[in-house]
Amino acid sequence: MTEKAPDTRGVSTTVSYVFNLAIAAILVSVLLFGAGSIVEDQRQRVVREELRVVGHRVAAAIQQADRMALQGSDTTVRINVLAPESVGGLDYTITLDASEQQLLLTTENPDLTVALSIRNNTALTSSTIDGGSLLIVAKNGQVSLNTTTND
Amino acid sequence: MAELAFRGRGSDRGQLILVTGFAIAFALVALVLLLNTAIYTENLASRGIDRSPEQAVDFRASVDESLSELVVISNQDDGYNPDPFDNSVLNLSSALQRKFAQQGTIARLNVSTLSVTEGTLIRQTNNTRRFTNVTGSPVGWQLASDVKATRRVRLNISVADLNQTKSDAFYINVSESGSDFWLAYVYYDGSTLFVATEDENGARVTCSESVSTSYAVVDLTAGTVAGADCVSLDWAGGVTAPYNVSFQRPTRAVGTYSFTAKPAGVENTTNLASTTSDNPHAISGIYAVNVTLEYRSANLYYETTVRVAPGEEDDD
Repeated sequence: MTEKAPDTRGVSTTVSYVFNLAIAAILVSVLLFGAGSIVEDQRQRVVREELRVVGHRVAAAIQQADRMALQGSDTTVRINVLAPESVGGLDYTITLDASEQQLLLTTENPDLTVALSIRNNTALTSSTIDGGSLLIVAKNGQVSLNTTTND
Repeated sequence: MAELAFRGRGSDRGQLILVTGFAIAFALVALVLLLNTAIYTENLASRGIDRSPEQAVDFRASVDESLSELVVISNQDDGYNPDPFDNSVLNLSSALQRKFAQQGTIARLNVSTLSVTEGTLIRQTNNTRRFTNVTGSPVGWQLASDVKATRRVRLNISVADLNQTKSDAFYINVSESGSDFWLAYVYYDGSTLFVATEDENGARVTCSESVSTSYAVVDLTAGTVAGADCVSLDWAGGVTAPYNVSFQRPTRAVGTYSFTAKPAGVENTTNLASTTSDNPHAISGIYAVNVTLEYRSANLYYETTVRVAPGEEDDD
C-alpha cells in the first residue's frame, strides 16, 4: 500500500467489463435466436407433416366411403375417422372442396396449407370443419364431412 | 482475503449465461415435445387401417351369394312359397349375424324390407323327354310371351339326340313384336357341341366345346357351353323386351331345361302344364329378391339394398 495504483487501472476494468458484457450479449442473442429459429422450423415441418398424415387418413376414408357407396342401391355409409384435435399445438381446419376435388388442411399463425387431391366417383359436398375426429357420410350419392358431435 | 473476495464476486457472476442456458434448455424441451407429437403422427400414419370396410363388403358379398343360392334352391323345388322362403331368409340372417358377432360387429339383414319379385318358372325335368310341348306335338311351340326379362336359361341336353348339322337343328327363338329376333341353334357333330346364334342380320357367334359325356349343360344367360365360357354368347342380344320365347324343331333335342321369366303369368298355358311334374310346366317362381342389409362396427355404419337375380343377363 506504499505505492499508489496508476489511474489507468480503473479505466481498464470498466472497458473490459463493457466488452465482456457486449460479447456475452451478442453470444447469448445469437444462441437464443438460433435455438428459436430451429424450434420454429421444426414446428412448421412437424405441423405440415401432421396435416399431411391426417389429410391422408381423411382422404382414404372418403375414398373408402365412395367405393362402398357405389355398390348396391340406397346405400348409406358412415365412417368415423380418428384425428388429433390440434397439430403441433395449433388448431386446424379441414375443408372439402368439391369443385377442385381436393382436401385442404389449414392452420393459422403460421399459415400453412396442405392440399390433397381426391379421386371420387360420387359427388362431394363442400364443407369446412374444425380439426379433430370426424364423420364421413356417403348418402344419396353425396359424400360430406361432418364433425362427430353433430351426429 | 483477495482469494476470498474473488470467489465471493465469482459466485455473483454469470447470471446472464445462466438465464440464456435456461432459455435454450426451454427451447430444446419445446423441440422435444414437438418431435414427440411428430412421432405420434407418424405412428398414426403407420397404424393398421380399420378392417371393417372390407368386412362390410365381405358381408354384402356373403348375403348376395347366399341369397342367390336360396333363390335357386327355392325355385328348384316347388317354385315360390312365401312362408318357407321368408323363414329361410330369417335363418340366413341369424346365421350371418352370429358369424359377424364373433368378430365384434353387428351385421344383419333387415328382413322386414325383404321384397320378392315373382316371375314365371318354366321347366321340364324329365331328362329323356323331347323338348316338345306338354301334349308332345312335334311342331315348334311358344313357351312365353311378353317377357320383360329372363334369367338362368339352362338346358341339360342329351348330345347324342341332337342334330349333327345346323340346318334342321333344334333352336330357341327369342323375338320381339317388331322384326328383331335372336336364335340359338344347338347341335352336336359327334364330338363337339355347338351353339350358334343368329339374328335378323345373319350369324352372330358360334360357340363350341368338345363333349364326351352323354349330357351337356348349355347356360345361355351365363354364356357357358358344356362348362366352358363363351363370353360372346349373349342371350337375346339385339332384342328389346318384351319378347316371346319359343322352341323350334323340338323333336331334335332331349333333356331338361329351366328358366325364370319376368313378370309372373307370361307362360303359354296351352303348351305348358300348370302344376309341377316331369313334363313341361310353368309355375310361380322367384325372379328377384331385394333386401336391405346393415353393418355396424366401432367406426363404420353401412346400409345398402341388395338385389339378387341369379343368372340374369346383366348379372356377371
